[in-house]
Amino acid sequence: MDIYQLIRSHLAGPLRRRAFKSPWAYRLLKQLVAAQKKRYSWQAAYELLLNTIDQVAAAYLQQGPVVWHNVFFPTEILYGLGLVPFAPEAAAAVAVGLGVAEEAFRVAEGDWVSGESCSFHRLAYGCDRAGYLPPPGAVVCSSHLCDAAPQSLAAAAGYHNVPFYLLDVPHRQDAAAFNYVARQLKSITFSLADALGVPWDQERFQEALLASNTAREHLLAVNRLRGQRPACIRGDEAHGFIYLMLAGFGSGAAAAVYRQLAAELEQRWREQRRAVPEERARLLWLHLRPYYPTEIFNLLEQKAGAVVVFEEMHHVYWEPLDPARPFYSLAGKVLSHHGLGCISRRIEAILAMVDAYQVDGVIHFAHWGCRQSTAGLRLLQDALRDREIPFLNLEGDCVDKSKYAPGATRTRLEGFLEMLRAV
Amino acid sequence: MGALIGWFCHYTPVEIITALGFTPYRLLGREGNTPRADTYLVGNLCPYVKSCLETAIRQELPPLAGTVIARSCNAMIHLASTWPRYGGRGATLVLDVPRRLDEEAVLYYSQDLRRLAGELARLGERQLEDSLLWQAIDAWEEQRSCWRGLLAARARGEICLSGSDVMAWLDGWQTGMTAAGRDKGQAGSATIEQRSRPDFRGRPRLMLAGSILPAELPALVEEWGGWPVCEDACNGRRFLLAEVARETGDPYLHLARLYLGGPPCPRMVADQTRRQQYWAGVVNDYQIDGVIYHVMKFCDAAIYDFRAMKDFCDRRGLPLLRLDGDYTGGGRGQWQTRVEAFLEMF
Ligand code: SF4
Ligand code: SF4
Repeated sequence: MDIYQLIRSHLAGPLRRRAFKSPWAYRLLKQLVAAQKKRYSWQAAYELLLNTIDQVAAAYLQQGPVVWHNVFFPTEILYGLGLVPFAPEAAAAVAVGLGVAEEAFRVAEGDWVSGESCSFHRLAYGCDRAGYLPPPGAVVCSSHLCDAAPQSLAAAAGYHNVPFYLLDVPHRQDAAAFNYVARQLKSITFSLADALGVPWDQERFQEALLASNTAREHLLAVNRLRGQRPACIRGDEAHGFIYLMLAGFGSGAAAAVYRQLAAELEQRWREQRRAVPEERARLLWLHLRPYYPTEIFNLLEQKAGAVVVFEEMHHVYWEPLDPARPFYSLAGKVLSHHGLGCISRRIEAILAMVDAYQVDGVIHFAHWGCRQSTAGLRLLQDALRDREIPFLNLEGDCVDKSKYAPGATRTRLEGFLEMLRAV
Repeated sequence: MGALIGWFCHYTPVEIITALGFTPYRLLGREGNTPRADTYLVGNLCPYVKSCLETAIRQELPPLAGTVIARSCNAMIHLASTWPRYGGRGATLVLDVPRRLDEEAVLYYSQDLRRLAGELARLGERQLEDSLLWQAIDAWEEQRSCWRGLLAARARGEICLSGSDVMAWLDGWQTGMTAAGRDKGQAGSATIEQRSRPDFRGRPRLMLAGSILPAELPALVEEWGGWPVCEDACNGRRFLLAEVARETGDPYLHLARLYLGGPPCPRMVADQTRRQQYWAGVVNDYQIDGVIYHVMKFCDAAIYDFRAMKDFCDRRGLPLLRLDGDYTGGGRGQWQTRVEAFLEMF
């Protein structure tokens, strides 16, 4: 079931831009999706899609003040203020499916955003300048973990002439860092409320934190179930839920989707419905995946029975939030990210995932331009080698399909599968 | 001269290093490729950072008692992880530099500087008394103000200096190794008189901008007919900071304010208005005719900063040329054609 095909066939070229701003387009889309409900192999994915359509509609129809954020900003704040969050990086992934990437890349390139920078942001930049994105009322961005996001979002705020709020995140986890981040979060929250004219509602804010905690609990349940053998969900399918990690925490929808997913996994586990007929190897996936059609997962999971049983992006790295100390506990969440600080923290987290999910091998998708994820891989590689865990660094680009080399990718995957068999 | 402490980012307060009796030594990399560093820092990462790692792996650096790595960008963050294992000898000390300028950031930075001072003190024999730090602050301020005076005279056209000379002097001063570099009396000294280049008058007055500038760029621009009169780079004018009112009391607060309040670098993403104001000041003070922006390959800050510079130049009708560089000394042929074509515009 390809949602993009569905959209593309109903919202053809010239209509596209206008269609985004038309309520009927979203109604039609939801009807089309609902008509195909039974064809979704996971009802949680179906629910996630309906929720995402609602969220996208809220942004394009400006149903409230739209705030752009990067995917590492704690969205609990935005939901807690009753704002409409919109993540340009996530929109970039959608743009690929909608077939507007080439045009957007051209626009960005023409505007000197060169191909050496992360293509998520290049694409978002191009989409924005080409008029595809809903204009923001404000832009927020955290400086962890990458350099591209703050730069590109600050440029977007300048372009739209709206306030830009940077959450500056240090790499230490000491008391000074906690206070620094907590104070900024508080100030950003009240500045946003002020600038966008939204009344402060303590109850709503606390609800967002509680919703975040509930989502966290359900996600932990999902992750526990994914640790069992054999896997009941393929990585290809599970990847679709990463969106919630990046833009959903603080919303009731995230909690509901994870709850549903946990229930379905539980049921399949009871019924021993396997992700693949014969699980020959278990893999851990680092960073994101390509958002255009490739044969990667087909080769790994369907053909070779090497199931991606967990994604680094689904790792719950933070403790539950404390609604009585909202900013301090959100600071804790931000500072707990395993990608912050010395790479030994990330390595430690990855090794823990290797054990928890009993994986036989690790694949890192080296998204071109993502320095935060790729640059220090050598140390990770060394650590995995010490544990004799096969590792593949698969080079490519999550959203720029011109960088995808099917032949080379296939060769590398086959080599890696050989290595797994040999271990 | 005390044991050397290496440092990279211009937000590193050298005062703390000197107050403890060490000699700060700026790491500026090397010319040429970086095959060894490439095996440790995979992917498309800042060539300057790789170049510095290469010098360490090849043991081309003087012995360092330690190295302070400010985690100012992704490349530096990864260098901080890699350096102790594959690169530098001596201790590796890391520093978190805020990307904004406000009281919260100043307070946080001051706390981190105090922590850094404690760690550095453990490497040496001296405890860091506030009074020693104030002395170092004054000594550095005296030197910086001489440099600022020199550059101001250059801006007013009272002295006619080549950009390549200024960059070379600054390089020497930052690495702390040359006697001339440590000579705080640079301004007005005989050297400057001897190096005067009145023949440059009449050439287009250029601002060279970027994150870090390759040392040879000003010389090449001069060779091709331009006249760099201001270098907006972290190894150029930005390193000279700006005078701030002296705080009484906490020297770390003073340092935090001094460094974060200096001319903002492209990474200070929450401080972009100030960066534009800074450019406007430079263009007016130095009577800039055009800008050459050096975009360091894979430097996200520079890639987006160039965008902002483009808007700035468009608004003011200033000609702007972008040069992409990889810090290895390659690609000069391409630069030459582009710079010469650019200079023909004037
Ligand atoms: S892929 Fe990497 S560089 Fe790009 S937005 Fe994500 S973290 Fe930043
Ligand atoms: S040139 Fe850019 S990427 Fe390199 S160290 Fe400086 S800020 Fe970082």
